[in-house]
Amino acid sequence: MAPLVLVVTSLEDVTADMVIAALNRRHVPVVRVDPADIGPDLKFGFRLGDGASTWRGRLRTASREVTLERVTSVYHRRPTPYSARFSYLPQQQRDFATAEARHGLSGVLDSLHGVRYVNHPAAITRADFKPAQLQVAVESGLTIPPTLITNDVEAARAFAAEQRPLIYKTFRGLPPSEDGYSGAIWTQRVDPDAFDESLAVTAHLFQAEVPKVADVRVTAVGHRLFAQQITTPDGALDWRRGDWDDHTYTPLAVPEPIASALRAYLAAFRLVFGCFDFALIGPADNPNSWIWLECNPNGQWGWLPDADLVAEAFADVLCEEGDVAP
Amino acid sequence: MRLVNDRLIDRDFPVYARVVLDPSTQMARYFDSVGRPVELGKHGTNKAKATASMSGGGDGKGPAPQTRDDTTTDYEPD
Repeated sequence: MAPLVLVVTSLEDVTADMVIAALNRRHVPVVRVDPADIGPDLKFGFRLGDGASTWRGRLRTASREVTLERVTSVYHRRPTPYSARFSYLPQQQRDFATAEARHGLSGVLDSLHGVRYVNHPAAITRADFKPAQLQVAVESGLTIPPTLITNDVEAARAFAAEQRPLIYKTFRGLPPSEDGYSGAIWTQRVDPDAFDESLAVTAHLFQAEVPKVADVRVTAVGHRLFAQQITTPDGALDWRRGDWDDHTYTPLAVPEPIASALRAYLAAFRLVFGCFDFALIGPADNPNSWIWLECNPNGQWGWLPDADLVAEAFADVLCEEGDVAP
Repeated sequence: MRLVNDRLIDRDFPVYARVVLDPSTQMARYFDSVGRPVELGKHGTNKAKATASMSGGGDGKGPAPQTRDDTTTDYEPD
């Protein structure tokens, strides 16, 4: 079947634009949809049964119309939350409309038959949990920093006694405050002497600090890996806190044991795409130098020097047939 | 919460006032306040480039509040 890519994203997502541009260059038809547009600018009628063995029917955006049976791939890239669409409603109605839209519209878009998802949102959700990430990383043969998840100050102190220096990192980052201010809690070294009973309030993730010489970002798309060594001018513990344009990026070859571990990782989560972060503790050509930190299953790559190649790799996997993750 | 830092760093971003979807390309087009096209490019956009470190509408000192856009799936299940 001729490829047709459904791009599920918000309007202001330049990463999606880069992939759409690559698909346009190949003259592959694209339908861009933000499910939160549901309403007069986004209408649908999906049917199953009475001769239809898979969901079929029409999806109409403000600019395109497509039948589900023509869709061969779905590029799922950070659509607008439904709750934003319905924010004008009182809470009960908002929650109702949100849940109904999520189950009724996204529920169908996430259940298309024989379609390749890059990535499937359910796979993204599963792969977003850091404890699951760490477990799968270990199972895939990757080396992780010694890790403790706890809300017990005594457990934290005991871990700190073995693992110094110690870093704290958040599971999910800091939600915006009520006035819209969005701060950040970067991964940072913490002083165990400052630990107190307030740790009991919620879960905390501690790791031994990795004596790294550089960071590496590996963007995996299908079977292709794009690796960049990232060096910060100040040797920051968390490179995300600096100006990304001040970092030095150097393309890197991924040692085969690491590459095959990453493929196993993606397969375990049924992901087609992932952004992997590593700390390097020695020469990059030695697989033992690679300490796995995390994987963002819906991460950013548009600012990297090889972004054009990554976009082309996305177009490649979106034009492939089959619904099976690598 | 003692560990909270500012998310944004000082940096000039291209600003845009309006964004529309180009029906023919299915790509977004950005315009400034007087309707001139704004070229965001792959390096230029705060939305795309920097969800973890730099997002929101300004340089961190401007009037725009810092806004968060690096959530990946917290909003999927709503």
